[in-house]
Amino acid sequence: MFDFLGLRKEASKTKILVVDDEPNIVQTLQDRLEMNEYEVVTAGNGREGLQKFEQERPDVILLDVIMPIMDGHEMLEMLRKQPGGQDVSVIMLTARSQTQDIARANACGIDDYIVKPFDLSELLEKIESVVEHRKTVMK
Amino acid sequence: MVRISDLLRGEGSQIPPECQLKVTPDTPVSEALRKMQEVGCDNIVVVQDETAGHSVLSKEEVLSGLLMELDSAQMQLSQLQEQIEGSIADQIDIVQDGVKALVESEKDKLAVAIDNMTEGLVILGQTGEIERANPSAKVLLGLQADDSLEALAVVIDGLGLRNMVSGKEDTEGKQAGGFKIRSTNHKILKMRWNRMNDAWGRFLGNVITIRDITEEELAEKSKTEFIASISHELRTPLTTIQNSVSNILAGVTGKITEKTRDYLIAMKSDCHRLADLVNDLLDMAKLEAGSMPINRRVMSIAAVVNDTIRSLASQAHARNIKLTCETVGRISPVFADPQRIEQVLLNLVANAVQFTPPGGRVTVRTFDSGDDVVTVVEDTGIGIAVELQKQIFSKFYQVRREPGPGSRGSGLGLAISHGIIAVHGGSIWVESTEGQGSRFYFSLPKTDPFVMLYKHLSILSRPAEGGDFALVILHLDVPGNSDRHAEEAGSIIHELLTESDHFLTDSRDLAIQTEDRELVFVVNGSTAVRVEVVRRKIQEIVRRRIRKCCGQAPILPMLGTGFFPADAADVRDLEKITRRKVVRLF
Repeated sequence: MFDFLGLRKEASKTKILVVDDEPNIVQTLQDRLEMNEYEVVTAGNGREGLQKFEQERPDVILLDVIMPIMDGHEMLEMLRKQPGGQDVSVIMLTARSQTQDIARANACGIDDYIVKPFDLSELLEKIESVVEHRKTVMK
Repeated sequence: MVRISDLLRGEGSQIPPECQLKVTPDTPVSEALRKMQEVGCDNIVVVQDETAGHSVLSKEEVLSGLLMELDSAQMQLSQLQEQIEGSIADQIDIVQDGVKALVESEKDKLAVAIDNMTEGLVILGQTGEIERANPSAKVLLGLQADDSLEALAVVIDGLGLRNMVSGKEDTEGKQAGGFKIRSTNHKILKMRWNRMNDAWGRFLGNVITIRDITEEELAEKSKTEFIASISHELRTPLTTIQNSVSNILAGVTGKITEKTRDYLIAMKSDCHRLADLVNDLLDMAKLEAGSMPINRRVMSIAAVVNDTIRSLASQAHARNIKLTCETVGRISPVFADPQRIEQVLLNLVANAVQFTPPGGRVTVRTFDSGDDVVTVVEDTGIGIAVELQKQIFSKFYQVRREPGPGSRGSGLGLAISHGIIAVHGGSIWVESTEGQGSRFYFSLPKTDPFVMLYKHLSILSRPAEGGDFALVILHLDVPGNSDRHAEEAGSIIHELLTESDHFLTDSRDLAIQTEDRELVFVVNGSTAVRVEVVRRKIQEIVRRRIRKCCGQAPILPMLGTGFFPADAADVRDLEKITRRKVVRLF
């Protein structure tokens, strides 16, 4: 009934991996997500993102498209081929509102996308609905 | 000339007494004869010199001299004739040779010019056979410069070029056409064909030019990439600012004072404005570069109008403006980019709401006008002076620069709308009376339902779209051919078309009326389950309607389903196969 050590809360926290090459954006996202009781891990490009995915096994990935070394599309394609890579929810953060971008990501399976510059409260709503959906599927 | 001396045989002879006419040997025969006739004697005495004495010639002998003269004259004449003919022939030969040389040299020049063109040139004869092709054409199409015309024919047929050229000629009477292809050697080629007619309008064949536009395309691409990268560069800092403001407002940094909050709210709203301006500038740049991406789908204008009205409802309500929409009759779907059309509508309706004083009305009407679907946004606002009506679709034009409504946008909205409608092949225009209101119209071309259906299916069949879907064809047979039932069937089709918005849940689903009493449904990403839901819904509506209409000759609903790619991997085959699978619905 009582969670003196805060363990239960810690265990039920949704883990989000933020993959973006802009440190400022990563910082603002991390601060806000942590305030909203999410656990946050970050990566600066697609390759680092794949490594972090291996280590941290996040529930949701917020994935930028244009990044150096490995972009969001490549990372998504490789992620879906990895063991366990199909189960993670992905929300694409795209600077281009072009639907061909979305269509390409859709082919690999994304849960949602948001066009930059976005409203953080809008992004939080999308994350919440993705997490809700995961819970119902898990059950 | 024959003279008397030519007739003398040498020996002298007795002079007959009656002969009184004397001539010298050098007298021409003709003159001697004339003299004989004058004098009236039959012989002449030829007076030769003292030693040779006299000779006598009879009239016959003199006449024979005349004949000799005639012969020789004839001979001379024919010689002369031969000479003349010979010289004329020579002259003709010279002229002919000259002309030939000239033609040859011109022909050579033309041939050399054609062979040295960087553009490829292929000339097709009346029956479509290749008459001539320059080396560039062969090289551009991935062959060697000295390859045969037969080899070229294979490549050209592989591209379907001959069919296209002759097909266009038959069906549409088109004089020219063009398209872009990517060659086997990774070049981007622009092919253009023109019909050749002679001065009397007789069809001679077609000439095809092939141009390598790889570099132009690359330049275009780098321009587009530049726009994309600028767009990234502009939006990234905006996102940081927006996120930071949002975080501070949300309390990430702790409690803030009321004054700080006011500042932050102002910052947030201006961030939105800045983002809108950046979007407008980028859209304008893309339209001008010709790189605005247009993702066409078969879409219903009415649905986009509804979405637009919904998203601007609160804004209109806040300004106490009555915002409504109406559709007149049945509206055909159009083949357009729903996002871009919504952008145009949002812009037109937002403008109308902004420029209409409180208590006014903004109405969006959509109607079918033959070849087009026309949408009109009508307001009871301040209107636009006639002299300004032409300028408002140009860049950065704003009706009012002083503070007040309209002073805030980028001034690009109407120019962007104009550009978007133009790339869709439609037109946009305004009718307005100052002080009474404005009507902004835009029209989008309708497309043949089958053309639209195939376009839609070919988009869906791309692997990037998921690549599987189902086709459901519903046909309402009226066996008795009664007018009443045919009308009823038409009305059922209409209801299904209207209701389909509710049961076709995927944005890429489609219901399209292909004939008076036929509907084709496209169900995307179709598991059999989705198709079954759609089938049941159709059945439910049709059953309810047919029960209502009782009579001896009922309406026979027929339905068939085909799956892509399971039933057919080609979209046209799929339609045929689905038609074959049509059976009674119940």
